Amino acid sequence: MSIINIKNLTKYYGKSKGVENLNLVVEKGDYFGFIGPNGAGKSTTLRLLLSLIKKDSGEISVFDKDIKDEEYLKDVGYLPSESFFYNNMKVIDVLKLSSDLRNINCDEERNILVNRLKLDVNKKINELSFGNRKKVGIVCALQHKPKLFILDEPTTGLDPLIQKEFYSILKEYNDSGTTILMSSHVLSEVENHCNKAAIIKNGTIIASDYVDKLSKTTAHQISVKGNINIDDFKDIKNYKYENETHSFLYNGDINELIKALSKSKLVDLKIEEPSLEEIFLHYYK
Amino acid sequence: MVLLKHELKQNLKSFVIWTIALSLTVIMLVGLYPSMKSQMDEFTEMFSQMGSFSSAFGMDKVSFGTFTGYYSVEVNSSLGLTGAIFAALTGGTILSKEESNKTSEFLLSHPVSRKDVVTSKLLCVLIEIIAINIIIWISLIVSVILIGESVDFKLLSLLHLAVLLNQLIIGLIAFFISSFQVKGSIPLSIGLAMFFYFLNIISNITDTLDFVKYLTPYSISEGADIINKEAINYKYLISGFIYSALSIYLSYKIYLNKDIK
Repeated sequence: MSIINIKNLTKYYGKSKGVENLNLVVEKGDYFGFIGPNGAGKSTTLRLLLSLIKKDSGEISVFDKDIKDEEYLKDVGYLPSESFFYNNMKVIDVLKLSSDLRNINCDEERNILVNRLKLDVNKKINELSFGNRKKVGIVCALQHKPKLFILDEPTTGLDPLIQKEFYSILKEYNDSGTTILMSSHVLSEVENHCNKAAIIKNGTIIASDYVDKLSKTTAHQISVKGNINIDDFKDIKNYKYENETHSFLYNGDINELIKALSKSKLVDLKIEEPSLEEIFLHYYK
Repeated sequence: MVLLKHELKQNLKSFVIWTIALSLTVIMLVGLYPSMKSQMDEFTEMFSQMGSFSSAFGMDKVSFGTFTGYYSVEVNSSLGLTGAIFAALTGGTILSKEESNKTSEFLLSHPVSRKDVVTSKLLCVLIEIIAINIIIWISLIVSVILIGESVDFKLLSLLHLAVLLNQLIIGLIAFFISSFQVKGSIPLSIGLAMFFYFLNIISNITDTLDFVKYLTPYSISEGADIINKEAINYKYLISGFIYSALSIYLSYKIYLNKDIK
């Protein structure tokens, strides 16, 4: 069952492209990473999903329904990249306002999240640091136990201990059935936590699959220490020479690689599967 | 209801400050009347000789010798402008502040429709304008009783009702401005309130610009007209009604279809 189904979505801001003919499917229970550099269209896609901005064309359905009215947001939790609240309100009042707007009692889950994230609910919003405002955003987005959790650059501003706690909370939610869509340009976050990922470039999805499959391409990451002639190697990408080591992504016949390597005297050789970061760079070059 | 309650709470501090300031102004000006009463005949004569300056503020048509005359020129006209600025500020910021303070993302990622947001904020503006005027009216009546003047309370209430109608129209136009203008909604709303005020002054100076009276909502609260006819001139409400209806319609239309920043 698809939780998010986006077909041929296009959004322009005047003449500037936000997304164009974007297609994306997120299945129930997915922990989905949405990767791309700044300006690629990640936030535009998420804001379209939340109906904060209006599409030019295409279709968006969430929970198998067109997002014509706001009903679907009852089961959605959203954490923006920067969380802003009403400055003159106390944290507890913001959290209660959020549950009142959803018309449900979230006291129990709220208390659990507040304690786990070590959030002082009696402080006023204008007394909070960036990271603490983010914690308020996390509680607001999770306290009603949503079926779909949408996160935009979730860990910016959180210290490493809270990041760890946050990811273990997400894992528990995901294990109990919550679908997660997480945009990020920190590739290790996606690689370590997500089961699927999509890469967006210039407003269009250029690859979307299981993280394992995306990483398991025919390409290999090669690191060679020794006196080799790089011109002997064909089908290489991302070539670098650092600390007397040649490293590159090789996407050709492995026998040709061995033949080329055997021409030189080697000090060290490593043949590895490329990381998601290298795959990402591969798509972006 | 949650949204309306939240909105009223958010605006409470500024509402209390404005209410105290405007009520005290009214109480102070009414309190000054007994000490100025003896000089009022001289004022009336003086103003009658000041030509178009007196006409501009409607001072050529009312007698300062009566409390209602004094009230109309001193209190009602200053309340007309300051009250309109309050209405312009309240209406002109209520929708735009969510975007300028970046709280719109928080609000609209909840299961609340944009229609509900506009309705709650619209109700909040109307409630605040009506509530501040009720409190000012009570302050007026109490202070009149305290200075021991015998006054036609019906006429006084009519003068105040006209000021309220003017503020409601200005507040609704400002509300419309806040539906599309995020950063410049405050200067634009206050500028509009001032523009209508000066339009009324110009229409008072010359008879050839009589049609201008139909364009500005301040014509409704022209004290001299109300005192002389003992009624609000409802023909001036036509433009106000059109402004209000258009403002409400366009505010919904724009906010329901815009991209939230």
